[in-house]
Amino acid sequence: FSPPCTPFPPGSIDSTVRCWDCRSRRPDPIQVLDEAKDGISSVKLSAYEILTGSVDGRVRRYDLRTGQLCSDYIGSPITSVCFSKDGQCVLAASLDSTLRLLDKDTGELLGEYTGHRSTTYRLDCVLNELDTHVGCASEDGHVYFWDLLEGSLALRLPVGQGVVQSLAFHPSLPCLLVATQGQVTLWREDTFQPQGDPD
Amino acid sequence: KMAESSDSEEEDLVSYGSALQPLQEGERIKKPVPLQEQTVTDAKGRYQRFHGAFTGGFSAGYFNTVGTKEGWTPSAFVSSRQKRADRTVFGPEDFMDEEDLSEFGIAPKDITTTDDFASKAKDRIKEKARQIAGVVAPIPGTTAFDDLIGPSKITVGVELLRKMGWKEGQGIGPRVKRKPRRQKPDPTVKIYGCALPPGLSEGSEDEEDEYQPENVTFAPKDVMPVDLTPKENVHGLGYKGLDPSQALFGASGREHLNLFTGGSEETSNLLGDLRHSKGRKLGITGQAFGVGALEEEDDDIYATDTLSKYDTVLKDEEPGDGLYGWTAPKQYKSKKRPERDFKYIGKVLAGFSLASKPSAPVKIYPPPSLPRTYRPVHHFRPVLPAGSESCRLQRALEHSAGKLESDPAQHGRHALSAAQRREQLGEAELKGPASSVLEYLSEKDRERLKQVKQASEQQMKAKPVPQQSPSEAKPVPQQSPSGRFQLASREDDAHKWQTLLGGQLANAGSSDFKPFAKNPEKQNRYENFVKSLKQGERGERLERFFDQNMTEWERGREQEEFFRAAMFYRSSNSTLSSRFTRAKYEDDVDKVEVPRDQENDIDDKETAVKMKMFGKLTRDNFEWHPDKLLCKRFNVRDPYPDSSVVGLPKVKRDKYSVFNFLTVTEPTTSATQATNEKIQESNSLNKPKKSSRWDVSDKEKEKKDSISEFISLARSKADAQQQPPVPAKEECGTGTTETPPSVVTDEDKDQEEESKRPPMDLFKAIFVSSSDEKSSSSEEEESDEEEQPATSERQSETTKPVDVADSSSSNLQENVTATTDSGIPSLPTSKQELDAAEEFGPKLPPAFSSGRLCKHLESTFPGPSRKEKHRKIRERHKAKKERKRKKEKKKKHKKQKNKGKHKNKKSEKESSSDTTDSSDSLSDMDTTGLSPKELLRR
Repeated sequence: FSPPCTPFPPGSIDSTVRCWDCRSRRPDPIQVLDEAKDGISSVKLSAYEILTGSVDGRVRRYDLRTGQLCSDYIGSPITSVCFSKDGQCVLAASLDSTLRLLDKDTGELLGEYTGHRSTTYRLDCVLNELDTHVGCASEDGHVYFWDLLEGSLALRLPVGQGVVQSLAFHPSLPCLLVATQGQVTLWREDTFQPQGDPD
Repeated sequence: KMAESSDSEEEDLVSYGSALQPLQEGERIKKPVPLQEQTVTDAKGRYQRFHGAFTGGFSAGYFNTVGTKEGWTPSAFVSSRQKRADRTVFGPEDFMDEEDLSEFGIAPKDITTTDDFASKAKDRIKEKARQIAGVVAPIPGTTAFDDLIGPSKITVGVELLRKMGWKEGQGIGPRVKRKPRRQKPDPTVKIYGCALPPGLSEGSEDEEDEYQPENVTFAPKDVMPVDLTPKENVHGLGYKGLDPSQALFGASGREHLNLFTGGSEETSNLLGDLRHSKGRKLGITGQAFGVGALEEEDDDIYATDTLSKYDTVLKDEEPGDGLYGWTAPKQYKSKKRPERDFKYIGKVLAGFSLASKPSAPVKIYPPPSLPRTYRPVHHFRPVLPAGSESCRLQRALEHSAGKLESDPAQHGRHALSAAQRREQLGEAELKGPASSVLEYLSEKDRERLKQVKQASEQQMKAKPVPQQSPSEAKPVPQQSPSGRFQLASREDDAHKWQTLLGGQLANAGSSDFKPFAKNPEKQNRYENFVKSLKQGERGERLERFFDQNMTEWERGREQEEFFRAAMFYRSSNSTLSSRFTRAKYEDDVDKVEVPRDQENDIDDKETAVKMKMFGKLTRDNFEWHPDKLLCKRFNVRDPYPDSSVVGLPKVKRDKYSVFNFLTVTEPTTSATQATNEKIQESNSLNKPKKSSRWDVSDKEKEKKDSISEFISLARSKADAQQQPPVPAKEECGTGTTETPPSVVTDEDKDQEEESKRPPMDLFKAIFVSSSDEKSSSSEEEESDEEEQPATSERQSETTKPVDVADSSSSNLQENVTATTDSGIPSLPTSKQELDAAEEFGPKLPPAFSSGRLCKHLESTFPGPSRKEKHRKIRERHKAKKERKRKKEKKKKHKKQKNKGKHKNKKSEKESSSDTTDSSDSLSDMDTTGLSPKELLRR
């Protein structure tokens, strides 16, 4: 996950994010981000930012360039965070079955997406490759997609019976990887020819 | 003249060392001799070797000169048969050069005790005595027969002594009347080394012990010279290593310097000595070494070591052992020793004498035993809260100096229980746990409290030193709102504190509360201070308790501290204390290490989240210092290159600093969008907003409680009214999409989409900056500028898509202010109060018109994209004015032309996308339209 030659910060249950230096192979982390009051559920990196979602209901963004820590309170435990592709927004999924799109710089709420069910599991949320849609796994065996701007449910993709455990969107292609119940499925658009489209 | 001067110069100079020889004209400079070729020669011009055969190196003779002309030639073999008598015994010295025998050689010969003065006789009490080191006859070879013959000549000293009537075995000095002491050791007394067979050495003296005449004086006891050699080695005590002289020539090693060995003894011991010395004569002997190759007799080697030779009992040596004549001869005479001598056996320094009586032992008082049930927890006595009685009472206190402690009524009142006091105060009974004190207060009280708070806050601002006290947030309803608090000068300050502290002072000084326990002086001052304060002193008289060395400022500060301490103490005792959480920091620590920025209180945010007011309210910005290495790895310049801290900076901060008290956040009433918040932000840019850092100590907690209570109160009211608008707004959003008839149908889809769009920030965030970043042509900038007003317009539109929404939101705000107003009517119009009012229900901007809104939007809008546009700010500044004008115009028509504006917007949007002209952004636009479709199709 971490870009080569950069410290990779895995989140841990002890409410810290530890940044190790892969290059030097030192066993001790470079820096420990211990601001979170509860376990870290999700960590994302951008070129100069570390975005963490914590169970204490806060999305923290460590900006290395400006030396700022921005902490946005969401309230409900955060399960997953991700940057938008343009780096302007932050998407945060929380356990109140809501996805929230926050402005990265001001912390304002830009959009709210509901309809799926996420109350107990740590479910992923994604943005599609063009930042037009917001996707999130659900506990009812579907993957939900909302229009990013309208906030309306755009697609309810049935992928399995149980909880959709993991979700990943291709960074540049309309291509979705879904993991559910010991099964990983890849979803492409209709027009995609070379390989068989699951649709 | 020159020569003269040079001469005089030379005369003045002092030269050290030998001058180099002046170089000749054509002479070549000698090369320095390399190190390996440098040699050392001795006085005779011979090469000096540093390591010869005897000193660690090896060379056969003089530089391997054995057998050569100038070398040493080994003596030819001579049969001992014919020349037995000529046999000579060679000592090591025979094979040494003269250098070896010189001062620095291995066998220096210069000053040694010669045989004339070193008696070769065996010491009679040798076994008892410790060996005297360092006196060893250097050339022992000739002494082999000394034992047989006896001393041929007596040393000079002995001769002299004898002439004075001295006999061997006696001590030197006047004769004393005493029993002659045995000079012999007990067999059981420790004996070091190998003892002679008992009979041999002791026999001559044993008979002396037989009779003890009464009136006969005796010569003093012979004294063993004290062994003065310091112990320099790491061997055990008494250990004696192998004596090299003994190893070489046994007999010589056993000879010690003893002036006082008698000839008679020598003769008596003659036989034994002879045998003894014979046995030791050659080579190394002893049990450890076995029989040497050169040893002629080996009868000794199996000698068994019996236990009887060793000490089995530890006992005092005879009192006279070696101490006589050393320090205290007088003591020596008294046979009977007093008891004290058992306590101190040793020497008494000159000028000192032993105490005749032992000093009385120090009495030790054991600490009182604690009862079993004792628990080391201090319960503070309850204190009466400041009420009407306390007010009156404290006034009485001011006049009646010092009668406080004896006042029975006063004490009686402290014994009141919380319930009793509540009755006295007329408060309602508590109903279960609640989060704030304020809930227990009536509406009227709350109002009063607020006034008091404001007044005090005002006062706080007026003062340089922060003095926050819980009383200000505490219910002190009976105190008149402003009159007492308005005093600002320092003397009156004290007075004010006095009044504030009032009844509580009774307890403050007299109890165990020691806020400055770490600094006893200060604590002392504090106690005095409080006491005098209790007695009603004020102003300058109080000053005398402070350290005179301190500066005015320090004194003032300390006074504040004392006041605070007294206050603090009371607060912890008050009825409210049950609702406090424990203080995070020690009371007596003035500076505490706190994270400089703390995250806001959650309950505040909770409400904000509930109301979907993300943004300012839910956002905390901290300074955060990334690790340097982390920056390096991220390929980012260190934002704080000079700082050494990592993570959130911590600051040492005064616990009661004014910075701990910030005003509260301003809840905004706009439901979903941040525009209103932005307005407020711009409205109150200079007002502190965060309610964080309130939870530093109890006092703050309390205060915060009250305020947050107010907030939540206001909010809950606002909430109730806010619920309807939210869905309504959403409807509006969809409604606008359904009313597109007037829109020119160029790109219907786009249009629709745009009209449906939620906050404009989103667009900005997504599109504007990206287009910005792609190119920076002036053209595009223009487009940006164009887009800017458009988006802001749209934004305002979307927040209040129709009049209904607009009015509803504004209504809402009015409602909120109304509610708060109803709660807090007729407040004095101080600035503080204004702030407070805004805390609870933000006042609407005076003209909450669209124009105004627009302006604010304009100024605050670029939020997300501002950073990217930094470089263009200047150009934009110009454009802004134009924009503003344009906007103003538009806004006027806004309400009527609700739908028409869509068109405007759209066209601007189009223009922007056109002017950006980058295919990327275009494709972006396309895909925003298309990709959802695609997704939907799937």
